[in-house]
Amino acid sequence: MLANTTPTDWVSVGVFGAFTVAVLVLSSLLGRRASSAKGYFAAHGQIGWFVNGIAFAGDYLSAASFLGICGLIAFWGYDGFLYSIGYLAGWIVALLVVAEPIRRLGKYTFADALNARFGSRLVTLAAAVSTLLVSLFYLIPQMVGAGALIKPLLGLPSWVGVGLVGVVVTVIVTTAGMVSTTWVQFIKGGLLLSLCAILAALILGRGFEVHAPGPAREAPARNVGSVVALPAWAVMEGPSGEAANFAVDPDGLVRTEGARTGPLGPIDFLRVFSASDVAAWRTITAKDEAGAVHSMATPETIHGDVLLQPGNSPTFRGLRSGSILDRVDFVSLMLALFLGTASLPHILIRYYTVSDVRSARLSTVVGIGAIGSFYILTLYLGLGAMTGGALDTSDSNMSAPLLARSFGSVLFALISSVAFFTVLGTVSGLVLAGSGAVARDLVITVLGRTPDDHTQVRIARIAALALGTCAMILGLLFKDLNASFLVGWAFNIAASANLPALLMALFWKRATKEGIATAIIVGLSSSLVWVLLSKDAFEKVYGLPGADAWMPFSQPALVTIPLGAVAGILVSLATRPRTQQA
Amino acid sequence: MGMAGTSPGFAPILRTVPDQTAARSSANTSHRHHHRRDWKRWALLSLYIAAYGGFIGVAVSAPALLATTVIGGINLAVVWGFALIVLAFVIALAALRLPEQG
Repeated sequence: MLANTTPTDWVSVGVFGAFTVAVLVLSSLLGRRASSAKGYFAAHGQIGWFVNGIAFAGDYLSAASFLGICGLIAFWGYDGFLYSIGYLAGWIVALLVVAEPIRRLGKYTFADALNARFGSRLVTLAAAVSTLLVSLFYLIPQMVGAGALIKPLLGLPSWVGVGLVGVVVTVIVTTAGMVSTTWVQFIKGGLLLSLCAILAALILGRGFEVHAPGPAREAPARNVGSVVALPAWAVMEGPSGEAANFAVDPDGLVRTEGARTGPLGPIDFLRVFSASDVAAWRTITAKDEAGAVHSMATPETIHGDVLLQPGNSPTFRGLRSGSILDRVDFVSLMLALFLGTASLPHILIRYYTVSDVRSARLSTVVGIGAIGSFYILTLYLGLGAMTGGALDTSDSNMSAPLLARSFGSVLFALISSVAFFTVLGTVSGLVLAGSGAVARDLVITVLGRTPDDHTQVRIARIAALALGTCAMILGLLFKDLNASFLVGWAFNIAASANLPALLMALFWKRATKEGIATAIIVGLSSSLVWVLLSKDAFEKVYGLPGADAWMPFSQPALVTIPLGAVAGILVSLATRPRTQQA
Repeated sequence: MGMAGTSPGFAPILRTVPDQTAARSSANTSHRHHHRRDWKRWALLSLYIAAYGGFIGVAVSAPALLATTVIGGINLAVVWGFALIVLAFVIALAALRLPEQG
């Protein structure tokens, strides 16, 4: 019945095209500075601390942060903000514990710093495999975000977005390595922060409005399961064409006593929201007489104060249910977010791009300021999307761009293009970290010697091409999952595999190469197996009943980080340190 | 000159003993300084862990407490969440004053 198309918006096409061309031109211009290994992997260590700090933000504020968190807040309220809190908290560990030793000990890759004391091929191999797997897990949500963005932006299917990101990133990374990646991330970080601040100001300026039936707001029509939804989300008919009895309110607006609140300050905005009844959208599924499953989006009236507490979403509902395992799951996720940041290879290698330890610290402080500011804005963006009446109820990742659309097509084009740019920046960093692990660590392990500079760069470029292709395929396979949810898994795996080994290598004199390698292997394999056999994976990836899952809860960090640490310590104690071996 | 002329026999001892003591003293002082500045680093980290861990602990053990209205009609969950973000930046600024990590 309803044509499920989005008309081509030429403003969006123009802005998007300009961004893409600018990125490619920048990469082309900077390409000549990346012919050596130091230039390709570490931008010659000549990036200034301020540029590097904003580039940290550009690298870190991925699709998960911008699209995923805003989407989670738009649908579930405070639960999405929990990710903001956890993601930022991790930077304290990075700043106070690992930043300076990493800069001092490392050269190009995560394995360099880990292996500085040992010179072990086993440690190099374990760290390289860990870097590749963590990067791949982190790549998935970025590509999912790219696919989600391209649909309303250019009216194209998601696979085009995934393919476009894959191609552009491969060009960026293969042509100019860390130099262009840094500048892409710097520009993207600055643009993302500026535009989100503008968007938040517009949300506060708009305030809240009382529900008043009127013309449907512009929003892309989407299939919600087997039921077709109109732009304003009134469900019109079932799969066989019969009229359905669903008549949902096409708003999603806050209900207050007045007609309009008018502009609100940041505190008043939250106060009014807390005191109001809010229509939060839920998707319910039901079987008809023939047994066909129908999904339907419908608003559920919830008091604002309830939405501003944890425990609304399926992921965190256990906080209110009293289930011990659900609470353990929550603690485990928050632990993974806290310890994961300092374990992400694509973040750690950015410390090599500055000239000294002091610059590493200063750039982290700039990064924390920029990232923290953004995460404060996420609460306003998410609540603005929840109450703005422009949600796509079948895709939470689209909440922020559609919120921008409610303020006009130019802002929508800018926000969507920057969001696409966001994906480009993060994917570039991930592909660079992964290709470095292949070109330096794996090849050195396999060949038993270090290839010359040009060979390393050539291998890294081929590896970047392969990783870009893998990322595209994985992005299409996982396209229906929330980006931030997927990043939670990446943090669990990174923290379990890398953090115990990193701390042992940096701070424990008794650590041995066998112990370090064991910590990585045990942490990596146990967290990976746990995630793949968890309830979330059964329900959201395999489409199987969650009750059949093998693991008692979904987030493994609480078990697998100590497991990797204990394994590493025991093996270290059972083997001789290097000085005694010599 | 006289000292210079007579010093060779004594010099190694005279120089060595004080130098070793000075070296040990310097090493001990450096070690103490190192511990002292590391103590500040770990204190900052502990402060944040306490604030972050406290938030998680309350969310898990007494979630109703987070619904308490505390400032300007805003509940504790939002205030604590914002405070954690601001505290991270304050700690980052404080960390700028720490000497380089040993």
